[in-house]
Amino acid sequence: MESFRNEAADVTRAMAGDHDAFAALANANVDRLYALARVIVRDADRAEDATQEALVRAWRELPKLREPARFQAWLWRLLVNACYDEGRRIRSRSEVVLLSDHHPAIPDESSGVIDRDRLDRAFRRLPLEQRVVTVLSHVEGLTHEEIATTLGLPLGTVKSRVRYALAGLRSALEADDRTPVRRESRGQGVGGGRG
Amino acid sequence: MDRFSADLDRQLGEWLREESTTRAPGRLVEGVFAQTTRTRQVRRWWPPASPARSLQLAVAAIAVVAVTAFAIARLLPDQGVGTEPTPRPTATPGPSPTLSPLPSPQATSLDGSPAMVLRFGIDAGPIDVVEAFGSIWTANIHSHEVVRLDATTVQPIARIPAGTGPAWFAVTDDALWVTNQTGSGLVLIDPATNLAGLSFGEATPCGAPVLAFDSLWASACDSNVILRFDTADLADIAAGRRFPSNSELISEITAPGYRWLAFAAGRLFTGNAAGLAEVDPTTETVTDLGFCCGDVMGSDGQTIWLNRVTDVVRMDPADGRIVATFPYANAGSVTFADGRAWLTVSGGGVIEIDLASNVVLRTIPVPGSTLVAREAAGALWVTAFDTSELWRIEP
Repeated sequence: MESFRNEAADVTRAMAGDHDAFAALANANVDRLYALARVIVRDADRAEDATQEALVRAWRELPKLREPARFQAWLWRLLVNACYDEGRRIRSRSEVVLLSDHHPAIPDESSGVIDRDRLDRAFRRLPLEQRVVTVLSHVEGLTHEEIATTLGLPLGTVKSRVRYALAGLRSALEADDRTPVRRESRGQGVGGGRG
Repeated sequence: MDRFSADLDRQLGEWLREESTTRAPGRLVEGVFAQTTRTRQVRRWWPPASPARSLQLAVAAIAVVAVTAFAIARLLPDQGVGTEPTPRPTATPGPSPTLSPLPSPQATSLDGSPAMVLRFGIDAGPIDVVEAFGSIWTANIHSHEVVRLDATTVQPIARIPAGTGPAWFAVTDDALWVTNQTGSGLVLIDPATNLAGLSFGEATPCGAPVLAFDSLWASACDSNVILRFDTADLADIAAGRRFPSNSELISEITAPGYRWLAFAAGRLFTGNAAGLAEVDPTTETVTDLGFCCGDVMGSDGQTIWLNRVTDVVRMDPADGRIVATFPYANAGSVTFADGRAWLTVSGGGVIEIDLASNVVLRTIPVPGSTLVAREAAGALWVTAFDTSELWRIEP
């Protein structure tokens, strides 16, 4: 409760132009934002750019924040938009080198446990919009209603994105199973980041 | 959700949580501070007035009141107590009561065609765009407003606060209606006054409404119902003869899991991942047709267009036959004009398709997550959701 009160006070002060208060807010949130961006865009440099962009936008736009109590959700939304921008930048430059650290792995068929690398490959093939709702749901533990409010999306859209994400993931895993040769070639650094 | 999907979902969650424990590099924070110390904050639209400015405003306000009172006294006939009320204002658009500055549209070109782009600002979230009552209208879900624009210059005429999440339009003879997609029901937009009414209807709509069988139909998929509004009742509401009600004017048809609607070959359809279904306007029931499957996007009048996530198909609803397949994932919406379809693809621009031959005529590289492309007032209008832009592209 104490930290909440402090953050609320910092938000109010930062809205009035207090850069020290903003610095406190940025320090308190930067790790979380970066971690979220990294799982969404699947690239450390892009995640860094997206986080920085989100925080700079937060500073610029803070005076227009209508509900200081919704600062956290607002910050998530800025981050998500920055991730979308990064996704677009990747596409426009054709810099799809997101799988450079990937090493093809042998699927564990017997245990029912999906290999992390396969999960990673499948997740990268999802559109960014679907990755975002999946991450907010699983990592931040937001309900579909909370995601809808945070992102300003209709609840139905959130639900369908979650559903499509799971269906897409499943299809990607099945396709991965069927095409081992292609999987290896994709592992050399193309094919991801189509969000 | 089947067992495999549930298991996959669980493992996905575990993996994502493990992946999200990374700490930010120190240079990131330094970079933010370096930029923000140089970056000015964006202030509110209207800065606090100084005492001198306040005095000027007060004098101006008194002058406006005096002139208005004089004008009213001159225009109105003598009226005693109990005389008939004056008629409603004529359909001349008035200024928006909340008109605040939007950036001017910028002239540009797109794939060789002259174009204009209007940027609504951060996170306005434009969804639908239509032509009605001599203007272009956009529904901006995040900024909770409908924007009325000049069809030639793309200059904003009015910004109209409308519900809590205006998304999709329906146009009737007297008014414009917009779905209140993060709230509930419909909102009336009066083109004569540029004012919005209160929302009515308790379910949350999703997708574009459809006019058919003397009714306006709107899917409310989160509530598992389809809403039906009688167009005669809507006309009464638009004319001020009837106050919008949450219950008595609206039929709610049970339609669990069904999303979106389309009117094709004289029949009303809805659908979901399991298949296409028909809505019977007489019995107000939904019957599954057994034709697999996808989200209904719209109809060209005869066939239904379905989004199947990885592609878009045209289906003949008479027998479920797929007439054509278009290999576009992330499709947004489809509209139709003069024998052509305009299909939006997020990140893939706008696709023009010849309806007679199913040939893709061209791809217009509109940037961003294009959502609705509609021919109107001699141009193609396109909303880009994530970048909050409206494009006007010359043919």
